[in-house]
Amino acid sequence: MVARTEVEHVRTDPDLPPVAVVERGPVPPARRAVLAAVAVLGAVAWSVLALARGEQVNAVWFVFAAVCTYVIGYRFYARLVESKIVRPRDDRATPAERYDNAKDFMPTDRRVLFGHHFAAIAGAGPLVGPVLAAQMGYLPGTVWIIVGCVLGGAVQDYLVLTLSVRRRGRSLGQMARDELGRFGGVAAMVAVFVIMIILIAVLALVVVNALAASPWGVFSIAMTIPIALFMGAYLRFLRPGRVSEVTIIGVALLLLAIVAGGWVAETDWGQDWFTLSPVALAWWLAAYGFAASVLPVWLLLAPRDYLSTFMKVGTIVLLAVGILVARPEVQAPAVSSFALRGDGPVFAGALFPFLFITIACGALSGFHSLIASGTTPKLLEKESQAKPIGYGGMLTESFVAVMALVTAVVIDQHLYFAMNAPAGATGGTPETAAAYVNGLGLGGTPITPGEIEGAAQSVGEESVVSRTGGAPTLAFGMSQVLSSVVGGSGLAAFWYHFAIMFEALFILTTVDAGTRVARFMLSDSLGNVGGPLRRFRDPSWRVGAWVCSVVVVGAWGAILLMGVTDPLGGINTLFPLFGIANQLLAAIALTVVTVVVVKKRLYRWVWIPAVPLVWDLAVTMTASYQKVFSAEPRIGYWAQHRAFQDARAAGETSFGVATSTGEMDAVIRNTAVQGTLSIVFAVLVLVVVAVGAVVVVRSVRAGGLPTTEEPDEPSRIFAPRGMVPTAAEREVQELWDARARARTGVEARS
Amino acid sequence: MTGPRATAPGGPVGSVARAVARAARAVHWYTTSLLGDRDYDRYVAQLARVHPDVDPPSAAQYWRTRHADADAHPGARCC
Repeated sequence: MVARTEVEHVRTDPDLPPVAVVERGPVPPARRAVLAAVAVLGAVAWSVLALARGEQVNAVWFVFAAVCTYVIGYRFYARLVESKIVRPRDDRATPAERYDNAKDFMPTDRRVLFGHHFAAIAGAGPLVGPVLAAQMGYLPGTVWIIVGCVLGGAVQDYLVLTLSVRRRGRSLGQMARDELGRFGGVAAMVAVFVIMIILIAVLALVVVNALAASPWGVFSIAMTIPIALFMGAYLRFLRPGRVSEVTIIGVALLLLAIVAGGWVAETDWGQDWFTLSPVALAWWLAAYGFAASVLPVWLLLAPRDYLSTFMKVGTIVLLAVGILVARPEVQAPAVSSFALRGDGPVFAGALFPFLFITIACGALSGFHSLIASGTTPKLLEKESQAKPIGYGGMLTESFVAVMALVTAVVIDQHLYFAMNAPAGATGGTPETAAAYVNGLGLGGTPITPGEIEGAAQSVGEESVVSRTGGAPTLAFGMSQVLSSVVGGSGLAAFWYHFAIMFEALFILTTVDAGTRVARFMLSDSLGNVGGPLRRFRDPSWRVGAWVCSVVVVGAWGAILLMGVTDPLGGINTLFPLFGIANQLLAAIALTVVTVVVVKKRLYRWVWIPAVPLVWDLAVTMTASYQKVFSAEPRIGYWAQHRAFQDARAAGETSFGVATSTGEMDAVIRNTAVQGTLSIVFAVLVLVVVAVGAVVVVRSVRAGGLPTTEEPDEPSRIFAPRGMVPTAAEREVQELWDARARARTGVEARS
Repeated sequence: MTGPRATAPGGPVGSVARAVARAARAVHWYTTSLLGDRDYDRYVAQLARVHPDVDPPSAAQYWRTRHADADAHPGARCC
């Protein structure tokens, strides 16, 4: 006697076909065998990664370990979260169905919505963080990116999306106010705003570092602006709505711009015009950010969005295929000596907490909670689709992070550190850089200055020494992988600049979209203050929009300039702030989720959001504490500040890497700003968590509190639960299709 | 099992060609849905369902209104 799968058809209206299919019963043996095989392959892959000693590991094992863990995690852990906390009911209408206006509320096919959601959450974060984290070897980063995502990041995205769907698509800030009260809500909003500013500034710094002294890069990126303007005008005036057509034209022009960059960089006038210093680039970026946020959306932002959506999906697939075909050997050790000693040049601090801070977006990203409570919940067809889109989307981003880590660890170790150690350590020239990295005790063949220069020439750059920020390293690794698959060393320079272009596309999209959102938050808040400021609420008041844009761009531009002129190396000092800010936003999101779970009295399952929350708080509070209070100047901002201040007061004209009083003053100013920001972030999040704790206690005492979920309304549409419909779901879909055909037949006849 | 599947015209080459054509159609459907080519048609269909008495706007008008709304309600893009 074989137990059968029980199929239940859920109806809300006897005259309509079923609106949902619920399948219960044991897993068929064939599927069980597949899952077991996946689990075994994953276990083997993890063993290879963890236990390889001395032999070189092949990069393909990373792909297997990641994908197998994601499959098992999705099949078992995500399903646990779904059945115990989310408990989706597909007989309930989602806001997309209920308020359908074919604009912002519209039930959207889950496969298309996955693409939109992934394009919205994917950015430069999972590309840059893991590259920097490779300083500690490949194993710690890989473990956190994969395990941290399955247990933390994907859970956060999934639960925030679910919460928002049940609340008519409300944003995280609004949900924080509803569930935590006004004070907690205000603290959360302020934290979101401040964190957004630092995020934009640090990502802009990554772009500046990638394009400094690179006429090829500057030309190609500069060309994206006229290309976007052309696309915008084409869509507006020539062929409205032909988005795919104009995007393909745009991508072709983009590839042409990358190739043309090579020609331009060879000419004298090209080098004159397009070789820009970091400070000049910073000003240009600020000007771009301002222009993009005040120009109409159709002219610049929307076309750039189409380009970057297309490139995101395409390039990620390209990289995955490239790694599987090229099968490069890993050069980095599993755990480097820097991981154990905590004195690495790329970022300062011990593995705990700074590895997790540096990786940030690749495993758990607070910023995603803004996206998951943005447009996606208003487009979701069925509640059960939050699992493939929310959880599955974050798993995909984590996979991108794994591939970024792979490209960093297949580069020769000496070259990696020559590229990522700050200029103060490497000395800036191939000779001094070679001497520096050969003295780091990395093992293996020492590198020669000729090899460092050769690496730069092979990708068409002047120099690769101290090109910090992760983007040049990722581009170099990608060009190594892709040129061994297609084109050989002749195409290495093209692939390098292709990778720089696609990273810059991601980042500039975040910069311009983020500046707009921050400007809106500012003008909304000013408008809420009331009185004469009430006019700020009107989005069509141009003066108000410009004023708020200037303030927002001024804020992130100032931090960007600070990073660019920092003698200590902007990435080294600012990237930890970016990571801490992102993780603190995750703490806010997870607090809201935990409070809701407690209010609904799901005490047995509150550990599901609470464990990542507690871990995240432990990491970020330890990191904030060390950044503020550590007596070691390499780590503590205030310790560095005092050291330089004392040197200045003692009349010294150079100290550490600062070679003039001007540079010393820069360090004193910058560390004060960084130290203050660290304190502000930490305090804001502690406030939100404290308010959350108070609400939790109140709820437990009261035996549960009401949440702000919308009342139920029956659904009248059907959609499958997962990406691939089951046989039973296909049958029901056929019933709906037949009904639609019959109705159009009746209408045509009448 | 007998039926239409048992006798597919064109043999193995025909079925490969059909599979490629199906895949190409799927990619085209996905790209045009993701980037937004189909949004105008969906809007017109929705309008016909809910407000059949209202004249649908032209494609150009639809996109102008949509971008104006996006100007007023920006969406974030992540890091």
